[in-house]
Amino acid sequence: MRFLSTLIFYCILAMSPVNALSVGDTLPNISIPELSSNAQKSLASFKGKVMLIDFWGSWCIPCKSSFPQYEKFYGEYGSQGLVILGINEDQTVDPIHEFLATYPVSFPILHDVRKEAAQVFKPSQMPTAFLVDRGGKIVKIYEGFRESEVTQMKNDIEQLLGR
Amino acid sequence: MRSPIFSFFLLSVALASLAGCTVVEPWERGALAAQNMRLSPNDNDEAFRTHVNDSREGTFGGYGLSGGGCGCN
Repeated sequence: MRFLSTLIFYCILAMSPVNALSVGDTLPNISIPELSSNAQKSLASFKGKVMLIDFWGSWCIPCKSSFPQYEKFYGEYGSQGLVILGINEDQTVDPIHEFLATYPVSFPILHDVRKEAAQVFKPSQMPTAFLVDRGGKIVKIYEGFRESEVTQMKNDIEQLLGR
Repeated sequence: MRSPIFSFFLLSVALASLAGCTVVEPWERGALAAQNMRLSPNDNDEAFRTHVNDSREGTFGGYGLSGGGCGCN
């Protein structure tokens, strides 16, 4: 009985979201293919820039609100050193193109088709955005997207950009 | 008193059933949202059936029609 309860405990432990990246962690050096060109983009290549890494899916309802907002951020702060990367978690590309036709963005979209980024970052929900400073350190994680948090996000980005 | 073989059998069944326990990660939930995972493939048909059940039987729900958990409809 004791053996069985220990086994169940470890099974539950194995299912819990351990080892997820958290605030203070350094950005992992992984490469993900870009949707438009299929060229591998290394996250490390953006070091020295403020990054907003957004995990999203075409089936994710709040992403319909977050995308127009992130596009605004990119338009406003892109020239000042903000890089936004949309890491998509769909299994196929067709729904991604359909989504982007409705909610077009100018920042790069990466297709995490092998789920490597998701396995490393382990976003707790969709969307989840990781704000990374110029040193490559995660300074904030936005789980989900709420209009009420936009001002705070804006302040966080401006602070990292040194405005 | 159960025989060791029977206990082993029970343990094996319990362990085998654990294989069915898995967490669908947030990034995998697109599969659950796919069209072929729905109980009814047709929205209008689903709405009609729900309406009939509601008016004739006083029952509602179970089809997954609309509502994102916000309680606003």
